[in-house]
Amino acid sequence: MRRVVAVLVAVLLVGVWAVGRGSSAPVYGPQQTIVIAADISSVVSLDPQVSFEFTTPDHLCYSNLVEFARGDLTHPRPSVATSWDVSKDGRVYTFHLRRGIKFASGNVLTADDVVYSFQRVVNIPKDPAAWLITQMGIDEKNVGEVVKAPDPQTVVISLPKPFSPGAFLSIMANTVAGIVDSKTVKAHVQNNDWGTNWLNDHSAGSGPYQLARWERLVTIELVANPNYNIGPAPAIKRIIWPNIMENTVQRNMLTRGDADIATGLSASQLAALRREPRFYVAQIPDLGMEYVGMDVKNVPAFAKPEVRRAVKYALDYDGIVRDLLAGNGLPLQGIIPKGLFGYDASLPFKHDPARAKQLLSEGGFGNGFTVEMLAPNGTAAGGISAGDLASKIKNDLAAAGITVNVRQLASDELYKTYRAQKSQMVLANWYVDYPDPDDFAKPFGDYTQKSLAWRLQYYNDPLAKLVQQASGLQNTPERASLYKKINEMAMQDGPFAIMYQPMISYAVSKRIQHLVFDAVNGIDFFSLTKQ
Amino acid sequence: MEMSLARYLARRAALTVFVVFGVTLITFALTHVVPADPVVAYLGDHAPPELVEKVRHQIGLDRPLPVQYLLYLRDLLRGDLGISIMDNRPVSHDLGQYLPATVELATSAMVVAILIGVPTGIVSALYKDSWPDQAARVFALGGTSLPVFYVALLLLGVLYSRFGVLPGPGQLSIYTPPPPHLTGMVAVDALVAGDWAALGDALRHLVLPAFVLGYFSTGLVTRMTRSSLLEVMRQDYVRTARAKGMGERRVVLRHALRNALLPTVTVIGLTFGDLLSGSVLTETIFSWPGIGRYATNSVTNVDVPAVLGVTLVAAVIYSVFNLVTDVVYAYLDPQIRYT
Repeated sequence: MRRVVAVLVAVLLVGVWAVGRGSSAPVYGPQQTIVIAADISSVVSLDPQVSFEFTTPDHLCYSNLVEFARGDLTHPRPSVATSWDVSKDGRVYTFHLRRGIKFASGNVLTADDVVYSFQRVVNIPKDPAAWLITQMGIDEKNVGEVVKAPDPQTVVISLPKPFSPGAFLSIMANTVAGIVDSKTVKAHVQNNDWGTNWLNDHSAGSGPYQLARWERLVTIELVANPNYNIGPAPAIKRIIWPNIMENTVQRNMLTRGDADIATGLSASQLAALRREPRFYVAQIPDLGMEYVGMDVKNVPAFAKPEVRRAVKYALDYDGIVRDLLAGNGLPLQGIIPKGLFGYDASLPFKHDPARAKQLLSEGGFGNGFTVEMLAPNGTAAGGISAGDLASKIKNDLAAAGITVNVRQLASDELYKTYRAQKSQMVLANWYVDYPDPDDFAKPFGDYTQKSLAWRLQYYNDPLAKLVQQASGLQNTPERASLYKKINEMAMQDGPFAIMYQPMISYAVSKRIQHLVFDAVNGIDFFSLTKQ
Repeated sequence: MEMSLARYLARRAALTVFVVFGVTLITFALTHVVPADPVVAYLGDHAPPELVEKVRHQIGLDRPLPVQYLLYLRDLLRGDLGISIMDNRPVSHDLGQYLPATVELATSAMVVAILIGVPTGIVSALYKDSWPDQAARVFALGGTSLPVFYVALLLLGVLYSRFGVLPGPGQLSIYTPPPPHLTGMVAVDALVAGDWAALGDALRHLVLPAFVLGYFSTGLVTRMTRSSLLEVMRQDYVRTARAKGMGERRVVLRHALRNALLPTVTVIGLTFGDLLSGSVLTETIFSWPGIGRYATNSVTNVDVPAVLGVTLVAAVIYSVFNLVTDVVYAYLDPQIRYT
């Protein structure tokens, strides 16, 4: 028996030795490599047409018709398309493509690749990102008519229904519209999967990087695309995201020099790092907000606009931002976060329990009332404990005479109740999908979208009309004035008490310089340098 | 003996099938009692209701529960564990990816537990109530009572972050090219490939998590070895051996220890089952891509096929280790017969 095992082991040793010697990939050292310690457990797919939660790798591997310059999410600029024309009715877009763009495979990018990428979005089953495109009225049946390539350098998209031009262009810059190398992908299709399984472990784009490795729950690794020819190649040749779920371990890696950037540190860890000379903290406002939602049907009191306003006056905004978030958040009360067109900086509600009490009696609830608030188990926006925030809200509202019973539960459970219109009050957050005000105005203002306003049974037709009207406009002064009205209406009457906008905070080694990033595209690896 | 062993094994294997069936039924029922929606967990909260319903249909979650379960059993009989909702890959593929890392870690942890636990237990018993015994008992108590995540973060903070004597999380350093994939156990793969640099790096990466995970079991092994050795040392045959003028070392190692190790073997066998299926915290803190993290991820996302796959594997592992423990037990104690 022993002899058999020994022989087997020997055979294996020799065999694998022979195989193992063959593998050799370009090796980039620490100077050309950036290591970003992050919790990437939630990544479901790296197929650009499917990925939704963590899209930075796809932004780096694929190019789009248009793109946003880092740090400016209000103006899309040319990328694969050098220019585009829009029909008078705003429904037909003609994109003129740059000639000679090469995919990592060496294939030349043509209009057929753009058409194929659109076909993929609407045809891949179980696609979490597909709704970004299907909401324009594009589906698997009409995609052949909607997206056409009259010649290799021209793409014509004729939308079947009116859709916000601002939202349209910003979705064209989203990874869901990232252009895949159709020849390469088609060669790897299995069982009608549109190549999506293959694209989880490989990339087929024309961006500055390509996917070298994605070991689920372990690491994502990109290396430079040698065929990149849209612009000058970045100096950083390799980017690695090791999956580090514990923020203490993220900080350990940073201090040890094993990571260059840590993305998930708590407010106190950031404060400690700020005092160390080898590191700095880079912060920008995230495009999202934390809010308290009030169901206007399930809780009779919330049917009264006075009571909803009372809640907004009862909250201690400064206390939340200063004490709980410790600098990891900005005050925000409008429905469009700072950094987007239509942002309203005004903060009409100040912590005023007396005013809140007065509004309660005006609404007919002078003796107060009791309500159940659902809060998630984990963290709220800005990385603070959702339980702590819920307790703070409970105390603030108690001071005004409203008794809140907090029920903490898994966020999936919370959303099941919330989405079924069965909640009374929820503590939740909302983050950007694509950087257009429409992405916030619709869920918060237009109940016909069956999103946030609908979940709280807040059916405000005039507000929904305004949202639809603003949706159809370019970023003009007229659109701005509509969003001003929408914000005012939502703040004074709406069922959302918006409390703050969280910050994205990165702890960074001082070896890293010229770090620019935004909430949609992530880090700009073109400008970034490492010493 | 040979015949009865074979019959015994066959009967136990048949029992395991029933256990596995029961486990799938209970797990299936539990995953559907949880008031969370796997489709929303997968698509995210922004997905419009129509998309949620469309995907629910695509996955087949809109069918009646008994039908879903019967379909699952039908596939299971064909050896098909289904497709994970979260990553769209066959669950068997996922298990094949994550199990080896856990086997590697759990085995190392077990080696740590035995190498430290058994000698400490012996010393503790031989020097009962003197200072080596007290020291060993404190050490063992620490293992069983200190929370795993605390020990892990403490050791990482000191040995990795502060002094840099051991590497940080993960199976390999970032700049160490991984050895060709063969077993999925990085150290084994590096050894097989003759990649000594990777092997050294993999072993260094194993030290901390194996110790953290093994430390808990070390406590159990130490205490079990100590108490059973003490009991055996009081037996008549030990006194007889001593009376015959045999040296103390020979009495302990040849006569007492073999019998004293019986309960320890049980503890080791069952603990190994535990380590294989429940090293979630250690795996999370050390970014170890094992089955524990896969299980946590699957549970938080209500990924029913994945959860079922993990529980199934855990049930089989437990049954197998129970069986192995019983067989080893009988080998060590000729009085035990298979019936």
